[in-house]
Amino acid sequence: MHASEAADKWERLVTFARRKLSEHSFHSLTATSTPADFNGEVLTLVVPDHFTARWNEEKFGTELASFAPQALGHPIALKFEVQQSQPQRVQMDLFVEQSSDGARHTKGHAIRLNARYTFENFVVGRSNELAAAAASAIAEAPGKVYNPLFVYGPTGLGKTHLMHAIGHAIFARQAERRIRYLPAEDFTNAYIDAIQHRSMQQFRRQFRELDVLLVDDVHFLRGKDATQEEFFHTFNTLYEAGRQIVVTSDRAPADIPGIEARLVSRFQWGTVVNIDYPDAEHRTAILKKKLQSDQLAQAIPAQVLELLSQNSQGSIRDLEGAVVTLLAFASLRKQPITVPLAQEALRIRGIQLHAADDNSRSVPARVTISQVQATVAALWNTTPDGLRSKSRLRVLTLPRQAAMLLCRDLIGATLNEIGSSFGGRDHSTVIHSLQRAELEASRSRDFELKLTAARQMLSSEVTQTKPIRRGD
Amino acid sequence: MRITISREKLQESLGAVVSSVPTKSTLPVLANVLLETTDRGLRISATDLDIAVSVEAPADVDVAGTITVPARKLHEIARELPAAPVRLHTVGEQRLNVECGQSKFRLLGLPKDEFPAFPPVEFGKHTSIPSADLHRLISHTSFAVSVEESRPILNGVLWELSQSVQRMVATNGHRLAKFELPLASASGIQNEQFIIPPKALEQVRRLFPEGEEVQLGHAENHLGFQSPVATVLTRLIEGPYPNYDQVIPRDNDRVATVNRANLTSALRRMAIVASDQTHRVRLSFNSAILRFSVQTPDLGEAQDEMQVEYSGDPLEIGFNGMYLLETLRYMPTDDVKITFKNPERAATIEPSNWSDSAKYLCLVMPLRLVD
Repeated sequence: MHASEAADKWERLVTFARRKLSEHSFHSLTATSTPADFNGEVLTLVVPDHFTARWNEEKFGTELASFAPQALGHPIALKFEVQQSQPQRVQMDLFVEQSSDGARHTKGHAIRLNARYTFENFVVGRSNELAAAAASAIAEAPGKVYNPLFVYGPTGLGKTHLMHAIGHAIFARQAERRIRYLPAEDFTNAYIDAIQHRSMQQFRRQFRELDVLLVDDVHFLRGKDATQEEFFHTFNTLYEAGRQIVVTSDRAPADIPGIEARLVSRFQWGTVVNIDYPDAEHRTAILKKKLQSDQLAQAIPAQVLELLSQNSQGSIRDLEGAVVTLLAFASLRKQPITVPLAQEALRIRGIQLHAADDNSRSVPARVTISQVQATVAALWNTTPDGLRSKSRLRVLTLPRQAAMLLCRDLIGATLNEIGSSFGGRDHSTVIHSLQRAELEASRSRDFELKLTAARQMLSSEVTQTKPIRRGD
Repeated sequence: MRITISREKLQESLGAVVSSVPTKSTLPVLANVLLETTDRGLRISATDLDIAVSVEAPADVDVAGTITVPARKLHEIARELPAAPVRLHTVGEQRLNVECGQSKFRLLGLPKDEFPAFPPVEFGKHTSIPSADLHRLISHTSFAVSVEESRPILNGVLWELSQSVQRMVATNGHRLAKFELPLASASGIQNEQFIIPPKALEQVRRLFPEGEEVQLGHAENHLGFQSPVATVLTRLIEGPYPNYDQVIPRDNDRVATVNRANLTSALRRMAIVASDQTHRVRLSFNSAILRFSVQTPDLGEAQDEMQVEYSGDPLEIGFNGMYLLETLRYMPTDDVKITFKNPERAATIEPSNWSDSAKYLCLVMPLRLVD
């Protein structure tokens, strides 16, 4: 029934379109497209090959859809699909795969994507949600939105993972797309090779006829002027042809030293997104996902997971390293994985554990929780011990909430860290306290002033020591 | 140029090169042969730009010189001349007088400068290969090359030379022939790989009779074969050749041993009624009986059967009968061994009980039985 309905809609749409399109366009459209399906919103048209699908979609897709309200009385979307059921040839061929599975496998392998780096394995958190959203939008419609996409952030936070995931997703959907993933260093090497073997022509063809170019760690191009120039032209060719480009770097485009301004400005044309360090919950989620995919989920108890995610500050690679150390430790000692064992393993990795009364974080030269506590206690005429106590007297709860807020804002401490530093409170209690503090700050002038004072006192302490910037 | 040559030698040499003169060409000089005097006599060359062939014939040279003249006309003249010495002498740059007994011809030619030069190929650095080996390699494989233009790489025969083995492979994607011979250790050839147009190999087979040593020469994308009398130069097809090794089945578990002559005659009978387009013949193997059947709409049907040795589950499989017949024609033994996996995988055909240092293997891809 859908087919006949599709034919009817198509008939009415092209009758209308005939008046709007040029003779030539009209013929090229109707000669290649056959209505196949209509589901109430989307009219699917079958075309003979991928080129035609793309061509028709780019050239006529939007325009035809805009005719629909007038031609059909209601809006519809158009989708061009490649004819799947090509008649099987009678004579089988030695070099043409009988099943498409085998061919896919080899091609996927050829573009050098890591099979583990997929969107399914990517854990989205606050620090990377923008990047993840942009990446999946690109995977849906390469070259259409967010082109180029520039992802930056410190090493080991999943930039490469996202890139591979884009490659996988596009490949899964349209295996015929020419996708190329490579680190910027490989681009440089390929370029040098091309110069050496005088195969520039081939080099250019190789890169400028791609549908999707994924270049990792583009900051490696710094100071390599000739390569940058070649990359610049490759970039322009692809960009002008509407091909998708994704680039990653360890810092924002303008901050990469030794990169030409015109290249920087190209990077900034599209979308620039940042991936930052994950927070503790996000780290736990990442750990869980990783252990699941490694079939280790049963082996590590929940408390240990929490300990690990709290005590590895930095990158996800660091986190994974901690797990590996712990597993090695457990198997060498032939002991089950427990909290004390994990603590020992972490100490071996040189990570300083922060317990409730220790207060030090492994990131140096920052305000510590105990400094915050001392400052707040002084301003509110109470004691740091009082802030850490279980007491819920109002004279203590208000400064405690203020201190928690400062710990979050100034230190970026996680909810669990804050909770454990303030008398072993649950993270949900901390959330509540932070909300109370914010509410109080908007309500009470006195509270706000004290808070501001505390901020100033604490930040002056920081400027005396070395300021740190992430990503340096 | 002024020379005297025997009629037989002239006709023989022209006959050797005239087949590589293109019948139609946009370049008029390609319809001519190049005549050059050498230390030993007369060299006659022809080319179609892809392949260049030249042979040398003994002759008495009075005055050295060079000219090009229409190949076919000179060949016809040589054929019709009486059995007497032939005198060739040039008048100016473009005219050749041919005199033999009372017969006199004056042929208009073209200056030698217009004849295309082939890139120089250095002989001697490479090894020589017995022409008999070349004959065996070529005759067992070159029939299988593709004649379609869709995959140009398959229009050539792959010749692989490693230190101890040389191998020719040809395929059109539907069937494949691979012939392997041991290579003399003194060859000095290191892992070379050429993709050669079959027309060139045909010339090699014609111009180097068995029992000669053929020198090989290789320039960038040309390959040369040379004996004391004849030279064949050919442009190579640029690779890479598809990975043929990958498509050779290793796990075929249904094995039939079939008499080659009986199988051939049965297939020839079936072929009469088989479709002109697909040449489809259905083969069913069941224990010791092989049944053939053909059904062609608008024409009719045919059945046949024969005794075979067969081990494995019963099998129904379709083939292009022509591919099977061609393959069988070059099989060197009375019986052939045919192996199958299933009706959608390649079948292998090889000699059975063959005591030879060579190895021969053919593949044939099946036809689908249901459209």
